[in-house]
Amino acid sequence: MTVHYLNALATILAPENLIAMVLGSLWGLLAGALPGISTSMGVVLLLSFTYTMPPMTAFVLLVGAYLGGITGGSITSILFGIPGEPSSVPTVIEGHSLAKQGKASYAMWVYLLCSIFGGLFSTLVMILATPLIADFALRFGPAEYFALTVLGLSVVSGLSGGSLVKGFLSCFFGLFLATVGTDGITGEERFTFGTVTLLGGFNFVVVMVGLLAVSEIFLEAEEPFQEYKGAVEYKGLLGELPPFSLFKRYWITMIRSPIIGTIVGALPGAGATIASFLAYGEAARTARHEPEKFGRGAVEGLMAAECANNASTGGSMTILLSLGIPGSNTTAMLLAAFMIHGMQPGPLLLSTRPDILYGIFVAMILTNLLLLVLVGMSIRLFLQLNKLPYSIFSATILILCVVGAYGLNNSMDDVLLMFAFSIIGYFMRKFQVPVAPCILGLVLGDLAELSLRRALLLSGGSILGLVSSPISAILLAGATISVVYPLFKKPKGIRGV
Amino acid sequence: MRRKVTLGMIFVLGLAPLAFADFPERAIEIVVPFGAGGGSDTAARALVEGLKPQLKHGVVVTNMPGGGATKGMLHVAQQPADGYTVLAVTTSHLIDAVKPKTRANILTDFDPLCRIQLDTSSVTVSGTSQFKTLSDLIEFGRKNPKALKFAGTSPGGWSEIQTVAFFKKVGVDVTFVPFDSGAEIKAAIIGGHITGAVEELAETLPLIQAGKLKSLCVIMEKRHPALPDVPCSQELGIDYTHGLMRAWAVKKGTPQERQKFLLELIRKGMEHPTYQKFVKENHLDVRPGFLGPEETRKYWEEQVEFFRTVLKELGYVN
Repeated sequence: MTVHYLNALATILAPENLIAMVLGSLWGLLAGALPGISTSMGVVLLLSFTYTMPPMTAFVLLVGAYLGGITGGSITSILFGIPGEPSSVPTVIEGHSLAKQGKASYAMWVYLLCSIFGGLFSTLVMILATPLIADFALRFGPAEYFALTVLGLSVVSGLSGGSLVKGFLSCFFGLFLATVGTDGITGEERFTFGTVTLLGGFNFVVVMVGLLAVSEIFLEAEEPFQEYKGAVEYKGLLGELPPFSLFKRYWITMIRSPIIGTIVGALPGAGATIASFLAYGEAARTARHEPEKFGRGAVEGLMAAECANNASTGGSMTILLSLGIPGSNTTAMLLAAFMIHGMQPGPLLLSTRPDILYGIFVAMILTNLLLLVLVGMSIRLFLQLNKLPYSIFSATILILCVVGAYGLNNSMDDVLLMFAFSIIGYFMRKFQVPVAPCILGLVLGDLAELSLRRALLLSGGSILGLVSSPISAILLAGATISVVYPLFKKPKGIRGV
Repeated sequence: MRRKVTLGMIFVLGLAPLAFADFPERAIEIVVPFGAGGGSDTAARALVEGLKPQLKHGVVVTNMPGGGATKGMLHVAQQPADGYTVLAVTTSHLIDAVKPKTRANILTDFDPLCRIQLDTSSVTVSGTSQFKTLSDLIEFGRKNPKALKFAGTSPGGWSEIQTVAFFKKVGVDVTFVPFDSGAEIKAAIIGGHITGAVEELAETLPLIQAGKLKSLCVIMEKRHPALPDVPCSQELGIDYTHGLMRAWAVKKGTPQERQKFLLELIRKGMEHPTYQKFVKENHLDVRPGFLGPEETRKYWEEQVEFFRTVLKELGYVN
């Protein structure tokens, strides 16, 4: 066992593999940060370069891009309010609010430390408890997925800010958006108006960038020209590091979120996005310190989302390496990489190519540490961007958003949709309707509907099938408590609007 | 008006080099109408590796997913018929010809260059399933209509057609449960949430070899070299050997000599070691995949007729 790890370490420390790790991570950070290039696109663009590489170098490169992409998605989220990845929407909501209050470097450091903590946590869980996680993930059938989405949707109350009614309105709008496109059970087209663009439904990124990033530019444009509110002086590494007591205060979130991330990451039907929303929602629902800050710069929400979306990498890799089943789009690309190199991840990998298996374990740990250094060193650089006058800054963001939306499918339709959603987002904000529940509804709606209908197909139409397994029963009970409890809870002071 | 002038200019400028220059004088674009990393995408990219050394100006793969593979098809149908845009065709497009989602139709708007692969499917259940052989499964299915739950990926698409058509052939009425991806299906079979699936063998082979899944029958004319102990459909007396097909095509009206050039290019590309290694390792060479342009068209027409019958029975078309 130890010999395997030492061998793997020796291989990875070879110069060509180290270079691959650095290049892969940098590319991943860039791809993740740009809204038009998702992590999985970033990995696939590298894929064609790996045909001629030795397998280990190829995997080091791709793992670097994968972890880098998940991490990089939050940089643009915090600084510019553009979700680089769907999984970083909670980071936009909390992290960008912090940045606007002049706490950009604080938010960046919290995000970075939590990301790396989540990533390392899940990697260690993967190394130590692969069979356990894999078995647990396999117990999730349609009924369990449905229960999970119900639990996810039940946190709406925590995301609603002031008005529950507005929160639910927003969530229902998101659920409605999720129904657009080809029906996953009958293949019927719904609300597509005969267009090809809408056959696949609304693209998450288009809706999120429109609702969150572009609408904010419109709002800010109403103000007279000014310097960006987030501009701050950087006080040097030691001056900016968040104190340890911060993590100690939120220790429940710091432990719960990576666990949620690892498990949800291992589910083939869910992934980083659902993981980060679930963890964020849980943090919002159970917040003991300053619950009123959620939606307006709650550091606890930022921690939860970042721990969870990075932790999903370990979960996703667990199920890929142990069963050959990709738990996310990006690990599907890694599966393709295995096939290109004539290998098949799965139960047999441990006996056929232990070098690759242990190599990937070691590479994941080292990449996480490398990312800590890479992003940590460049935080100062990123913060310089915030010093630009807002007029220039916002124009640049808008260009990024347009190019990003276009780049998703090389289609102008997505750009037009993004602007349509930015107008919707503008009015939602004007009327103080929270945007987060809408995105929650969109992200979970499709999975909720399809898994409910699958579960009913499997049980022959009996509703009892939904609660027949302990997992789904517990999750549904949790959701019920989460919805009912706030109705009886004594209000603690007055929550702001 | 201005638009017309511009279009006219593009037309004239576009035609001018046609008359003089050699083809191709810029990169050829392969449009894969699926997301990156899927079966069609990896197959196309492996073949592209074989094309690269032959082309001075290179070749690029563009993924254009959406609309059940029809968005990419529509895009290619809207490009000039100059041979610079090639569509990676799959069985999905043939099914779309029965019930078109867009104005583009694979049979009337495209000229096939060649078929490149014919994949093999298998009837797969969990490794711990109570069904040891296909006849166990069929017997149970005949006694309990709709009790067998089989998963697939595309309602009204290839996945449902091959599942339902196969079981209809053996007189069993199964419940088809659509999932979003092959990954979810495999997890659901191993986890015991559904009975099984009729799926491409390459996707499930590693899990079959590891004993997590079990193949009851491979759907083709002979036994599969990777699974010599599993019977094939023909030897079980089931006259059903359809498989997923992959082909490349250009827009109808592309000059003949360019079509010939591209065909030759692909033929050479398929001999490239990278592509050979890819098909060997993924068992895509078990059945001869290559068919020339005329044979491919004939094969397409037969398949479309077959799909029309099945979809009629399923009630998707009248």
